[in-house]
Amino acid sequence: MNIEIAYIVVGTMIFVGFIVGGGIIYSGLEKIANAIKK
Amino acid sequence: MNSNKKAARIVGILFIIATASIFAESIYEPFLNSPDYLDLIYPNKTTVMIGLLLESIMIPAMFLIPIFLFPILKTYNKALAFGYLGIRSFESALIGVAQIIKISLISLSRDYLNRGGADVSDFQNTGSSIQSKLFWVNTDGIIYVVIFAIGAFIFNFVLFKSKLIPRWLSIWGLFGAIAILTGSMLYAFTDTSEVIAMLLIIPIAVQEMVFAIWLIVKGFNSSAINSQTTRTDIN
Repeated sequence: MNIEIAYIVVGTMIFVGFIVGGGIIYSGLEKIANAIKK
Repeated sequence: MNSNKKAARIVGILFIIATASIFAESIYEPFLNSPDYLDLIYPNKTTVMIGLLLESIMIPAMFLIPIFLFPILKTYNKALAFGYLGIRSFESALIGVAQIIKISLISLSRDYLNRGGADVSDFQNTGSSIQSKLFWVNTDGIIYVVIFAIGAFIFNFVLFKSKLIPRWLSIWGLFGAIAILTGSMLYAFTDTSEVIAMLLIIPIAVQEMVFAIWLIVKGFNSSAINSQTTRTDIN
């Protein structure tokens, strides 16, 4: 069962990595977009 | 390395590429989702285009997944293998349509900024009309999610019946397909908040990543493939 948990942890980490990475890019570019509007 | 192991690795990598490319929308969404998108998109067209091109990587990735899986899935259920191929092809086509719609906003933004004496409301109405089409065909749009959920359900059903992967993983996929479909329907046709709909995406999204890693490291269950091949040969 431990090996299955390892796969679940790695898969979840990849997904969370995409979310965090996407969030960082989004918030950075959102600041640029807001700065352009001003 | 045998061909099934190779196909499993390629499919695992394609699943990760397809999921990663969805997050490329975070590159263009700050401009496309802004209330001032008509002012912002054209001046930032390079950034928007980079985001759209990176997201478009999912089109070939999604299309190639059932092609690599077809020789394996057809030995278990030919009709569902063809069905999965067709559904995934339709899914890729929908993404293509969504990308063309988004690209048309760049031209609209350019014309808006060079409008001269033209009425601003004409551009705003055209922009709203274009944006409303994305409500249906974008990766979080209803038509797309319904097609995706049907495809995921078919795929995990074949995996469950064939035991190509552990059953806990295919049952998780079946549950995830139902969850994402339910979330999308609730969001589209009731007052359910977007947050709940987004939370219901997580089971299938995480399952696909676990499944991808499983395929890359362990591949398909070779004893299930061997027993099916023997049965097919006898018949």
